[in-house]
Amino acid sequence: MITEKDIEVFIDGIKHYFRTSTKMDIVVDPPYLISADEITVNDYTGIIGISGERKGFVLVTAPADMLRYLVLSLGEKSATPDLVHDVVGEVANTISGNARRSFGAGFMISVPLIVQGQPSRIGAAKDTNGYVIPSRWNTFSFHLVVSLQ
Amino acid sequence: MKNPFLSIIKGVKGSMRAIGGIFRSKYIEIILAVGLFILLDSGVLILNFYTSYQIANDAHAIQLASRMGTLSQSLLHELYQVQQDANNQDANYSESIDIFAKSYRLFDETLDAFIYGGDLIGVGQGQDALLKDTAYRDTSARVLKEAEEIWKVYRIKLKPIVYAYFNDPGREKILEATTIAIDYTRQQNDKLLELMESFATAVEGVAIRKAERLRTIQSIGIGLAVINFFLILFHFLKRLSKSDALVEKSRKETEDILENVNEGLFLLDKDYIIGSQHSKSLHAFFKDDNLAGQNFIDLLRPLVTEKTLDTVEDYTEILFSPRVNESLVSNLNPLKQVEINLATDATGFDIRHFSFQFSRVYDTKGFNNLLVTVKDISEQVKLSEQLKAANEKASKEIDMLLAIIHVENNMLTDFIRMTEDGLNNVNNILKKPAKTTDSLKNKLEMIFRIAHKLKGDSTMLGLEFVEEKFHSLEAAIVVLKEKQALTGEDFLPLVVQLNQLMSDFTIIRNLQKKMNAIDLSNMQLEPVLPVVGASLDIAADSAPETLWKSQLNALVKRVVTDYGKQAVLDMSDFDATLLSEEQIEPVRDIIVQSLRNAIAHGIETPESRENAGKPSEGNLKVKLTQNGSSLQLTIRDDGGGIDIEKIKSTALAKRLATESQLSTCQSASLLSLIFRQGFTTAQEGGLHAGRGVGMDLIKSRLGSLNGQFKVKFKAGRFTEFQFSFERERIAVQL
Amino acid sequence: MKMLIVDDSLIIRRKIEREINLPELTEIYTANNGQEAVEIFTTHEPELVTMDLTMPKMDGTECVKQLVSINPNTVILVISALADRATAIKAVKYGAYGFLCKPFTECEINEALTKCIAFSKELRG
Repeated sequence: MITEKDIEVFIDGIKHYFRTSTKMDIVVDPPYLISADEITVNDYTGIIGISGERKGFVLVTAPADMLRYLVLSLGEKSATPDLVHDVVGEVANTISGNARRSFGAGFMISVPLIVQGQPSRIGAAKDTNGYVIPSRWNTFSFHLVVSLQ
Repeated sequence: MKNPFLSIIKGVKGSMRAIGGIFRSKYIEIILAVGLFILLDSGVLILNFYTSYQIANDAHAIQLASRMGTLSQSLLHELYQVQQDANNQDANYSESIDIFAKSYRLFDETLDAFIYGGDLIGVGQGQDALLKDTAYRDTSARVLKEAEEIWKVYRIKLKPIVYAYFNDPGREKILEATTIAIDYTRQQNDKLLELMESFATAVEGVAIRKAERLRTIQSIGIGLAVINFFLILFHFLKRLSKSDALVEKSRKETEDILENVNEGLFLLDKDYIIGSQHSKSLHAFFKDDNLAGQNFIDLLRPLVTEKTLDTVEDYTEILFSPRVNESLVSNLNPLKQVEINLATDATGFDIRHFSFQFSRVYDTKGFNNLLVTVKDISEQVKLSEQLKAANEKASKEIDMLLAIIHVENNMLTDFIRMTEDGLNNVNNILKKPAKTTDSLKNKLEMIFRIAHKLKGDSTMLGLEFVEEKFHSLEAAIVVLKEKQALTGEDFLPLVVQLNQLMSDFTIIRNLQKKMNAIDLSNMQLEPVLPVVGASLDIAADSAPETLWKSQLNALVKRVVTDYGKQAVLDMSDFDATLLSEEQIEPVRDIIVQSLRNAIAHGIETPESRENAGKPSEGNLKVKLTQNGSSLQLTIRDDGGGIDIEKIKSTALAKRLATESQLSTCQSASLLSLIFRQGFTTAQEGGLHAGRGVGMDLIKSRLGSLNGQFKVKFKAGRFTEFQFSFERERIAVQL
Repeated sequence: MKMLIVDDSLIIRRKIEREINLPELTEIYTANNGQEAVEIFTTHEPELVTMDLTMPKMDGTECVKQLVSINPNTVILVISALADRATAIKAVKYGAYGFLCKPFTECEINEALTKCIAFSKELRG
């Protein structure tokens, strides 16, 4: 069973990213549960596969508007689709790296997969609930979804 | 100490053996063939030398033979010169005699040599043999005979002049001899020339024939050598192509094996480099077509955990150590069963289980490689994991089954439905956006009420393991409630517990479904709560009050045991049929909470009861009666009543009221405090009371019934709660 | 041939002592931790050592290191549970000859020790 600590690792990862790269903290709203077939995503989604002692995935999904704003606040002159795509990857990478450090040797954390729109398939186990962590950054709201067996 | 001599002998023996080995080996044929080739070639070479020597000799003989022709002419010429010099008184004839004598001797000796094989002036020693060659004499015997006959006379006639060279007889004598000699020479001169010329031609003929013969022998020798060469070539090309075919065949066989074997096979060297020869299936294993020359550790790095990788490095290292016994460490193979995580584009990972086997590859010089066999054992692992999970699930389910089997089926159905609804409600409450601390606190309150209610339900059904879970959920909420500032993240522990509860109830629901599939009425089970009614399906409707009683009795029994108290429940005036279906749930909630409060706060311990002169067993009375159009629910305990002072102090401690407010207010309004959220006089939250939510829940349930309540109590004697609400409709009576 | 059994569990030490039936082994010593093992090793110079991994005072891995540094020709058999696989591999890396998995049967220990004895003879020529 997934523990609080496991989820906190991912929350910390995403918090850390925004704090260090945008100097603006994110606000985390109360998490809730979601079944595998209920998972919906926003414009852009970064998915990280997890295996080893625990199996599942973590995804961060955000609206394009937020990502464009994020790109601009990182110092870019214009938010091209490429940059928007990249920035999701970077967020996901940070979470992935954080997880790799925290979970240590018994876990395998994949390289993030970036999807625009609905992913073809999310490898969630049927009887496993996912944890949705609704978050806000600078008036935009986005979601972190953690689904681990 | 070894004897050095012995070792030398050994060495010699060894090298001899080695040479013998070569002769016994397949190379013997080529060695013999090449030897023959060299023999033939050197034969031809020797023949060549001999031929060129012969030709040089023959050329010389021809030259000598021709010179004799010339000499025969010179003799006459020189005789004339001698005659002329002898005639001339002033001239010195000795010089011309000298010239003549030389030519004479030359001719004489040469002829002699041709006929008898003698020495020859002015010709090298080795030439004797040539002139002794009978070939010339045989072919030109007649010519030489004739020439000898003529020369014999020459000798007689010319000798006096030749002697004159040594012993001058005087001008007159010489002149005389010269005249005689000239006469004869003039007669025979042409004849001699002719003979000599024909001899020269004969010698030439012999030489030509000889040269031709030698050339033929030479050609045959060269021909044999060439034939031998081609035999060698042909034979060994055939042998080579045959062994090539064998090599090709074995290569093909190896290739076929490597192409088609299901296992991944490859060689690994000390630097972890994968060999060029490996089975094709290996590509599929690693989803990589260029494995040859790759570093095995680097290949594994993204596929396995760091921990495993470190162990693999150590393990291969010890396998390469000659100081380690291979069979004694095979148990340590960290890749005997390993989870491999192959990245795919859609899901991030494709999880496979591989089994790697390492074995040392020995050759004459020891071992430098490991043969690695890789098998995909995902299916086996999946099966065994499924089996394990099924076992775990089964044992968990058995525990749950043992717990729920005693619960009457319809009640269980209701309980499961209500609990799942409640849990979903909690999730929905969490889901609703809330940004302020107040709205978050509000969420907590709502969740707490649900949790508390569900805990009560599970207590009532005797499902202790569920009760404990709700209790710990409550505990987690209490922690949060005491926090000054709340963030969304703080809710995480609740959500984790919620998830656990949800999955437990999925199991319970499935279990019940399975239980329904078998006819439990035929089973020899003795439920703690007696099942009343002909069949389980109509049990709840057939005798509701009996069911109510048995459930509530069970609840009371459990709660009093937990508090170390004693009490009996009296439900003789309880008519469950008065309630409508919608009213059953809230009324049950109210009764459950009230009874729990009554036992926790009202009923005293048996000792204090005895001290107060009361029976040690407390009395709890639950009445449901009709009063006109309304129903009245009464819950009364014969405990210590309500301690107003305790309420006051709690209210002060929780800052629900100030001291001045308390001093002026009536008992009635003080009592209303006990219905406030979070109010409890209990020291610590127990399972049944003390969270300060029971009364709050009662209040909200009463609200849903549109009811009112009254509290009566007498310190040291009793507490009575009276709830009144409209009667909705009469429940169907059977 | 002399053998030293290093294990902090008396039961295991007794089990090994009881179960070995190899005529080559003439003297058996026991130690219940790494430190003691090093002392006994230095005094009695056994050719063979069986080594537990998790022990107080000095663990098996460290002990293997020390024994090998004292006498590189010592043949050490690591005896431990498979759960310590990584540690066991380390111990072998530091110079042990092989590994025997706990729990073991009488046949397994004798077979493993036979191999160790053969190797020890090979080392000593």
